[in-house]
Amino acid sequence: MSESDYKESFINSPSTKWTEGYGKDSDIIISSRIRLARNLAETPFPQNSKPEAAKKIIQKVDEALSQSAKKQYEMLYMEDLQELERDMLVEKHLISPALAKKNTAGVSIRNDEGVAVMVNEEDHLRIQCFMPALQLEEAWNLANKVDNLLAEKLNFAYHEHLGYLTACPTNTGTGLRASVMLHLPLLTLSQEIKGIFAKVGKLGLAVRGIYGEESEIVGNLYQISNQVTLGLSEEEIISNLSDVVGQIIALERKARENMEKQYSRTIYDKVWRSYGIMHYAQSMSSVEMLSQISYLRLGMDMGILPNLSARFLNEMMVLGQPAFLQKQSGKPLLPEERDWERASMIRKKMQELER
Amino acid sequence: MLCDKCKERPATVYFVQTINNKSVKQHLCQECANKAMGLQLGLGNFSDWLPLFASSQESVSLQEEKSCPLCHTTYADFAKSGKLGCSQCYTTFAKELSPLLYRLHATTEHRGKKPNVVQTAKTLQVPSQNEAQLQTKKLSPKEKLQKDLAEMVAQERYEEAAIIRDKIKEMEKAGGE
Repeated sequence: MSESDYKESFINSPSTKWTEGYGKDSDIIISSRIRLARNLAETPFPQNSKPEAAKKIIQKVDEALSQSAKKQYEMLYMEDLQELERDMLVEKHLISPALAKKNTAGVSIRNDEGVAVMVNEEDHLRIQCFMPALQLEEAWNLANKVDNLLAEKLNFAYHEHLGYLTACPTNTGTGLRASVMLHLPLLTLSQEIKGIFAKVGKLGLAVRGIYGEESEIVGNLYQISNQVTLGLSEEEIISNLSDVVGQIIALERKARENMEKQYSRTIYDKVWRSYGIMHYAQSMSSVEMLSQISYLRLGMDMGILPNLSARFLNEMMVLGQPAFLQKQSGKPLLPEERDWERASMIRKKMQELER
Repeated sequence: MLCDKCKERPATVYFVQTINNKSVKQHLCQECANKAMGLQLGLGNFSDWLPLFASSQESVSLQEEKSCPLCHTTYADFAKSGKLGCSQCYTTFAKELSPLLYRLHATTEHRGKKPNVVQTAKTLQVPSQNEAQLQTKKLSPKEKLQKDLAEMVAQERYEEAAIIRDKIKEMEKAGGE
């Protein structure tokens, strides 16, 4: 693919690294992500930098990546993208909503979309690595390599005792945020989830919805990440998170087994109803879509719907987001119009399964 | 647990407010905690720091004039936005940030990755006093207190933590390490 083809695919294709859907514990874990916050020494943080200086930083990062990793990365400048295109990158989780709002920001994306380095968000650099399923260590190894590559060309702000220095003290030290996206329909149904998350909170981990910091829990999808970034090594942070996630996986599997034993007919009914709704509904909100996808996913993982794949469902999740829907229909849509467009997209996707 | 105030969202913040020597303890959600503090920080994690915010405010009034030589950020700017202006701010406001970092991470000693080329000497000349403050290798009486503080915070025993914190402050004022 040529440069412009990659750019086209970064923005327009619903398929990205984390949507691939295979890997360890993929029946419960959708994706894993590692983020490293880095800043340039002796340079005001993005909040305080002037537009010209901000642009120079993007160029520096672009140079560092293109010199070290030939033609693997493509830098997108936010000022060159339309609002809709930026939102599509947010919906693919490649950039944060905060980055999308900044004209002075950029993102360098690796061809396979497994790495996206955000420039001039809250920190000068946010190295992000994405993997499908539970692959935190793999994602960390990759992020570590990218960080080393960049450090050859760029002088990062580092303090002997405090580690990497970041705009917000919540990230100081390792600058590492490790997170996994979990699908926990049965722990949600049984309300056990509340007790679990209260415990998780005490272990220095945070639970959020799938669209970032303030987002609500929808579609039985949760994001768990570390909060503490200082005083632990990167490996310790990741292994702490993995341990907790491993326990939650075991609980969800146990709950699924029990449910299957006791209420298998109820589940079959629920799953097939969702399958029917997805085939025929004429209007669907984003929240409903995510909850129907949750039933389909459960049906797939329990062997009720063998013709489905995690990749299919993950891509549908992305395609059903507002910016993707508007891009698809070629015009801006009111929320109500989006619900019609979303249902139409879903019907088409579901028909693909029948072929 | 649900938020004591709105009873709608899960409580994520343990909120202690001291009014006329009476302390009111509440388990609040992020939103209600922000409202309770009258803060519009737009920063999700800031209210995690609330138990120490009172002491930060004290520092604000004392440090209002001090600003970072590189980016001119003042501590008041930081308290407002929750963001530091540049890496030099960590040196400029080392004293104010130390308890904050402690509250957030229960330590002030990085144990993770180091960059291959460390240029700390050039970029950050930490005054020796602050340097000593950040060191936790040999356990001096103050460091022992800091360790206790971390434990209390970890166990969510904030009242005891506050007492230890005050002891550390007194020690710092007396100039003894």
